[in-house]
This record gives sequence, C-alpha cells and structure tokens, in this order.
Amino acid sequence: MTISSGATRSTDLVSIVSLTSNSAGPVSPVRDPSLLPIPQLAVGDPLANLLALETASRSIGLKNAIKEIGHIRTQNADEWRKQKAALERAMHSHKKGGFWHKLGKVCGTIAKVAAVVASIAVAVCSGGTGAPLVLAVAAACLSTAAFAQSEAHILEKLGVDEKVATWAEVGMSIGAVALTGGASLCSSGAALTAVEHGVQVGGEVVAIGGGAAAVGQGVSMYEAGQANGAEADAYADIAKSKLVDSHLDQLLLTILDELEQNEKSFRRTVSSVRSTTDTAGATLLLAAGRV
Amino acid sequence: MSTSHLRSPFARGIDPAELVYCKGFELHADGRYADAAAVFRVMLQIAPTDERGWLALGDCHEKIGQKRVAFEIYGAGGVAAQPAPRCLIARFRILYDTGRFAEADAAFSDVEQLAGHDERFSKIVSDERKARP
Repeated sequence: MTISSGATRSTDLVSIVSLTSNSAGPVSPVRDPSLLPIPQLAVGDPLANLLALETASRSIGLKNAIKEIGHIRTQNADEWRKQKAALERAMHSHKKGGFWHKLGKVCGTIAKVAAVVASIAVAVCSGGTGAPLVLAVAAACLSTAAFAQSEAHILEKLGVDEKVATWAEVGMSIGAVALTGGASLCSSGAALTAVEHGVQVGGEVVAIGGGAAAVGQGVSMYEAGQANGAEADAYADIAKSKLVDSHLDQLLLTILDELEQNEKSFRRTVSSVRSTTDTAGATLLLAAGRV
Repeated sequence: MSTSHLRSPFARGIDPAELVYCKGFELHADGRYADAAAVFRVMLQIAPTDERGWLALGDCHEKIGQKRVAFEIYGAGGVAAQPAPRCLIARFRILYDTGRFAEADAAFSDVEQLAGHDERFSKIVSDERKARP
C-alpha cells in the first residue's frame, strides 16, 4: 500500500530562537539514521556521463534530423509530381467530353480515398507499436482531414457526390478514431475518450472495415451518371496525395519541435553542469587555501 | 517514421533528477555539504516535486549547523512534494531536539497518518518513535 497524500500536515511556524537554541530540550543522544534514500543509479560520475550523453545525442539527433528532413523533401517532391500528373489526367478526361462511368468506377474512386485512411491505419497499427508519437500525429492528420472535409466539403468540390462524400468523411473519422485508440494503447494504456471508447486494438481493422462498408453503402446510394469516373479518379488521386502531403508536413513540424526541445534541454544541462562544476572548483580553491 | 530518437536522453527516459541526485548524494556522503547543497538546488529546479531534493538540501543545511534553514526547507518540501513523509520526520526531529514537544507530537501524528499501512515506512516511523519517545 502506498502512502496516502490526503493526510494533513503540520504547518506550525517555529521561531528562529527556538530552533537555534538547543538548551530548551534534550538533544537526541543517538546519531540519527539518514533519511536520504539511496540513489537508483549507480554511476561513477553522473554529471560527466550526463554531459557526454547529451552531447552525443545532440550530434546524432542533428544528423538524423537533417537526413529525415531531406527524405521528407524528396517525398514531398514525389507527391507534387503525382499531383501534377493527376491534374493533367483530370484535364485530359474533362476535355474528352466527360462520359459517365458506371457505379463500380465511382466505388473505386471513393475506395481510393478511404484506402488512404485504411492503409495508414493498418500499416501504423500493425508495425508501429513502438511509435505512439507517429500514431498520434497520423491520427491528428486524419482527424484534421476529416474535420476539414465536414467544414469545407472538399470532396464535393472535387466533384464527388454529396452523399458519397459524407460516407467518405465517416470513413475518415473512423480511421482517425482507430488510430488514436492505437496511440493511446501504445503509449500507456490510458483511458480512451468517449468517442474512442468502443475501439480496441483488435477492433481497429473492424472499425476501418466499417468505414469501408460505410463508403460502400454510400456508393450504393450514389445515382448513376453523376460523375465522370476518370476525372473523379484523378481528383481522388490528388486528394490522396494531399493527405500524404499533410502527413509529411506534420512529421516535419514534429521533427523541428523535437530538435528545438533537444537543443533547449542540452542548454539547460550544460548550464546546470557548469554551475555545479564552478561550485566544485570554488570549494576546492577554498579548501586548498585553508590547507 | 519515428522521431523518438531525436529526443534528448532526458526525453528517452533517463531521469535527470536521478542523475543529479546521485551526484549530490555522492558529495553529501563525502561530507562536501556546500557542494552537495548546490547540486540539490539544481535538482529542485529540475524536479521540484521530488521529496528527496528537499530532504537532501535540508540535511546539507543541518549538517553545517543551519537548522532553521533546514526546518524551513523541510516545510517547503512538505508542501511542494506531497506526500513528503521524510520531510515531516526531519521536521519532527528538529522540533523534538529543540524541545518543542507538543509541535513535535503533532508533526509525528502527521507522519503516522501518512505511513498508514506501508510496512517499510511504518518501520522507519516506529524506529523514530523509539529514538525520540
């Protein structure tokens, strides 16, 4: 059983005189056992180790950050190329006169948007047990995308039918919830929010499947002849690419944040170590003077 | 893509307060109380809710004869690092040793309440009572 924190405490003030004077009462005849807990770490020179560790970490962190930012830039460029190609395809399809495709084609278009959610969710949830941060970032990204969709009706502006867009939005929301649930469970098993409460690790795929089914249901409600399949396909590619872009941007921001925190932490450590070393030096000088 | 490797050792789970406490403890054990006190001050800036920092800093002051300062530090520790049973015991010791028995008893009652059914801590409390009946 642990010590309760609810107990009351003595807050009596004791006068300076009473504390500095030992004549008022008996002094304990025995030497008091030390109350100081033994440190959990058994290291020879912790400050030196700490400094070395910080310096090494800073250097490695910087190199990795530069490498990863370069990688993200390359990925961003790829995504931009995909977007450009998709735009060209969309324009080409539009010029071709816009014949209406069958229902299955539209289903494929919407599935592509939902697949963004599903693929990220499955990939991250299956292999990302050690990366709750990435899960959280991905979930935030998806959640933002779903929110943006409900606010601005992006898919509808991209030429997708209102009903279908609504179902796609539901799919994105469910994907985001599944991801957030994964992040919560990966990090500390903390309680999920009310919305996420029903989503368990084992149920992630089911939830995503539910999202896909919802999209399917939306597709079934879609009336034939309302979209140009090829054009919509191209726009779906753009939407997908935009989502990846958004994820990369979030990742970039996270890396920069981590770097900033790393730098601040390093400065604090160096400052603390310097202060302690100065004190130790001054004490040595004083001791030498007395000798 | 994980960014956790970019974090400092602090963020990777190495407790800076523990490292600093370790150094302070070493200095304290060597009898270098002023140096240890400087280290524990650093520790309190990093981890103000860690009872050990308050207790150790107070003890450094006690060791160099500054009981009043130590008493106040233990008091502050009792507030900042709740629950802080060791800080309460340290306060109790000072009160008892300075003859303020009523206040010492009150402080000791607080300690006993905090100890509750914690066996390890109850042993410390009972030993303390034996030393200062």
